[in-house]
Amino acid sequence: MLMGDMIQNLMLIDDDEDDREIFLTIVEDSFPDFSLSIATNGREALQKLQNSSNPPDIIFLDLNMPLMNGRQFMQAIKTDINLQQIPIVILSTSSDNKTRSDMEILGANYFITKPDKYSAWKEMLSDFFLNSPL
Amino acid sequence: MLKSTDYYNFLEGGGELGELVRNYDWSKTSIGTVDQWPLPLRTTVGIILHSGFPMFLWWGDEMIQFYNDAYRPSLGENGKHPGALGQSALECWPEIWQIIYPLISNVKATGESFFLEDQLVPIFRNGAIQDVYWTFSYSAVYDEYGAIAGVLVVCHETTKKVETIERLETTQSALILSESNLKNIIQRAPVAMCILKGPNHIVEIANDRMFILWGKVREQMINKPVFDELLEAREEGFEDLLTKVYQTGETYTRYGAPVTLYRNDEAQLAYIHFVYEAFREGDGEISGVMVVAIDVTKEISARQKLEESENKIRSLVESAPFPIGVYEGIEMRITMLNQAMINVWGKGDDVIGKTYMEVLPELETQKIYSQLEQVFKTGKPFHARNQRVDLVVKGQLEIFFFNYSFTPLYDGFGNVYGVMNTAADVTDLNIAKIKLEQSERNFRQMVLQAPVAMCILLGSDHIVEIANDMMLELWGKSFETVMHLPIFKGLPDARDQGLELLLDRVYNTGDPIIANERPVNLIRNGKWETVYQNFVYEPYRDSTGKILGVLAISVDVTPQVLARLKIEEIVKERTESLERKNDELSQFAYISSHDLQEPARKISTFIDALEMTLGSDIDPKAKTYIKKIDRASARMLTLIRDVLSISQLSSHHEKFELINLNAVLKDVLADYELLIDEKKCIVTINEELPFIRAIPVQMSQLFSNLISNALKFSKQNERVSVTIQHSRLDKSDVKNYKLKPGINYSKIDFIDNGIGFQQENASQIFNIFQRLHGRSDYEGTGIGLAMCKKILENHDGLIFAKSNLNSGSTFTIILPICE
Repeated sequence: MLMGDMIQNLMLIDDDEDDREIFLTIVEDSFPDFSLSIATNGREALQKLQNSSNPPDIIFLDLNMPLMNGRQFMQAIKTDINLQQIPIVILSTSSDNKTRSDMEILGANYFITKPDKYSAWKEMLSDFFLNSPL
Repeated sequence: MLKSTDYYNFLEGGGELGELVRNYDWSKTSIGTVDQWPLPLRTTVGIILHSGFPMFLWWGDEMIQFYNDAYRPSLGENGKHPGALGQSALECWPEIWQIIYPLISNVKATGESFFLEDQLVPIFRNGAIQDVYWTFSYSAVYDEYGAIAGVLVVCHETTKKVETIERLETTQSALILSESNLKNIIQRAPVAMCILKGPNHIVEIANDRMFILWGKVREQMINKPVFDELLEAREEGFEDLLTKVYQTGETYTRYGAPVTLYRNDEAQLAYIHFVYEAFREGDGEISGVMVVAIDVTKEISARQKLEESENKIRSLVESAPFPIGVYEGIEMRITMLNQAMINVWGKGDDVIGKTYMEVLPELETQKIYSQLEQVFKTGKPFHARNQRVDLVVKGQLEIFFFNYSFTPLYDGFGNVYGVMNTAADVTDLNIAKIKLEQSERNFRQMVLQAPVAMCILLGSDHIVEIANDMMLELWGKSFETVMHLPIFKGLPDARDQGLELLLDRVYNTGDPIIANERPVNLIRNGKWETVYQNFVYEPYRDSTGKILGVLAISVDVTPQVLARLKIEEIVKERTESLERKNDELSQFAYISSHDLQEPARKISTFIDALEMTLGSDIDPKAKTYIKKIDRASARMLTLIRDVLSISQLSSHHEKFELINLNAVLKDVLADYELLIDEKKCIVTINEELPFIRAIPVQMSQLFSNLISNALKFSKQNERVSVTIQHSRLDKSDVKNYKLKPGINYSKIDFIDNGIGFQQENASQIFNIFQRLHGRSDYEGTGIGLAMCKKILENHDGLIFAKSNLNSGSTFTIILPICE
């Protein structure tokens, strides 16, 4: 079964404009059925989520962000009964084991290191949505 | 004088008296000259002179005397002869006139002869009146007219015969007397006596003492063979002895003969002095044996006891390892002396038999003679300890010290007969003691003069026995306030700082305590001060090893400690600031590399995006530029990430865990599987790797870097091989490599057959950004081995490399093993 059939709503939380752009471009190009809501930091994302009647099916979360970083966001969402079950994919340039295991402990479902190439981005996301490991 | 004409036949011969008669001047006598003599006179004188029998004649009224040679000896020498011839009777015999005159008168008056046998007639002869016995007859001699004119005495001296008879009579009366008194004498004798008669030794007489000696009563013994009741004595041969005396008459005497006698209902060994003497009758015939006996059992056994005890003493004396002497009598004659005593005196071996005073005259002034005398007189032993005695040894007066005793020796009767002298030469001990005292004094002097603070604390209360000025200064107390007081009384400010426990421990266990820079708070100069001391508490012992107290030696190191503390504080501050800066630096490295990473990644990403957007219809030059930008950005990313990695190695937040290096290696090899396959590399693992405590990520980083290097710097035309071997590091190498000792280390070699490097570069390669090859030949940032070095530093390990250009390299890592 393709994950794509289930996934309708995505949320990307990232303060990096370029990364947001790359992400958005790839989703629009490759998965036009998906709706993508975007937040530039954890706090904004949390507000959006709490005010939304249609929570996302999956959240892509950057770690290094102003106001509320990925870690703080994780802690917050996992204490919210309505939101805690949303799968979270960490999307970070940090790829060290410690960060990975910390995030897994906090409840992250998957860990993706931001690729260095556009082509790699595309490949990675396509792969993720088509063969979701979740 | 006789004229030849006056010659008369009757006067011829007649021996000495014959001649005397012939030559006698008879004219001066009342009977006148021979020619005037009447015939009866002539006849009688002729008979007398020629008779061999002693004869004597009184003639005439004056009783003129004639006698012959036979009579002559009765007058003795120097007596009446020759004066008696021609003398008148009265003149001649005044001493016996009363005896003879009545006899003569009676013969003259009656004409009757008179005969007496063995009549005592004492006469003067041989210069004295002698008792002379005579058997004699007086008979009348008639003249020619028939008238009695003279008295003829025919006599024979029987003195010898009478004396013999008298002697015989005396003996006999004595015998009678002795027989009658014998019983009394024997009975009253102060010794045991008896007379045994006949060959069977029948008891005829025996006194009570004898019955007591035999242990019998009179009725058992009297008139019976003595040995019938004394069976044991018979067995022991006494009957044979007695029989021999009876037969030979030889007296037999024995002193202290042992004999078994059945007395008081038991057989007793008795010692008897006895004499067996033949008992003879008046005729000299042996009729029995007289026995005189003295029971000396008591004396003998006393003597035996004495001998026994003497022997005991003697063997004791001789075998004793310490000096013993025995001196007897008040003069203290040396009777026993063992070698030890001889040695002590140093007067040679020849001293036994001499007196104590003779041998040891030097002691006269040392009160020892009187001690001996007191013991002998009072029987009270005398003991002296550690007494100085000066003895002359080899002519030299030397000082000795003795423990000695004079003990009275008693004989079997409880009388002191001598003194036993035992002694122990304690000179050496005393000298040792004196030396000890000297060394003790020296020690005290040393304590007082020592250039460090010293004191001696005695007993469980740690009473201050000595303390030198430096110690007093350290305490901040005066001599008077602490001396001879328990230390914590004199120094109350030192209480309750744990010192009591230390002093008690040293005093009780004898184990010394060494303390370094021990702070003690004391009131000095009126205020509390912290004094840092290096001190030693040593047990203070006597010569026997007994702990008397504690010797404390202390050095005030307060200034040094304060200086050091100050330095430490500074160092700490510096270290902290350095650490802070280090942290800042690695934080900076982390953040900067992290932040730098983003734009680099963007460049890489967007170049890629640009290339894709442009598609294939692109100017070849532009394409080349895009490629160059792409490569540069990729390289920049690698660099940034490596710097990030190495900066992360500096942060100490990673946890050490027990890890299996085999698993780590396996994972790393799996990561490089593709490259290994591509290069057709042979990986050999010679020895199982150890378990160690390490930071897992760093170990995997380490192995990863080393494997990747081996693969990277391989020769183009040769099959790549990597060998990993492991061994235990030699102890000697632990020292050589200046590793932390006392820990076991593992040595892991990564051996490749790659291009190698020149050995002179072996240490450079671990420097960050150090590269030996052109970037175009071998990719790399020059950070990998620097990371390895950093990782091993983090793990107290070591990394080094050995190589020759073109002949492979060996990278050796050394890590502490977790056993």
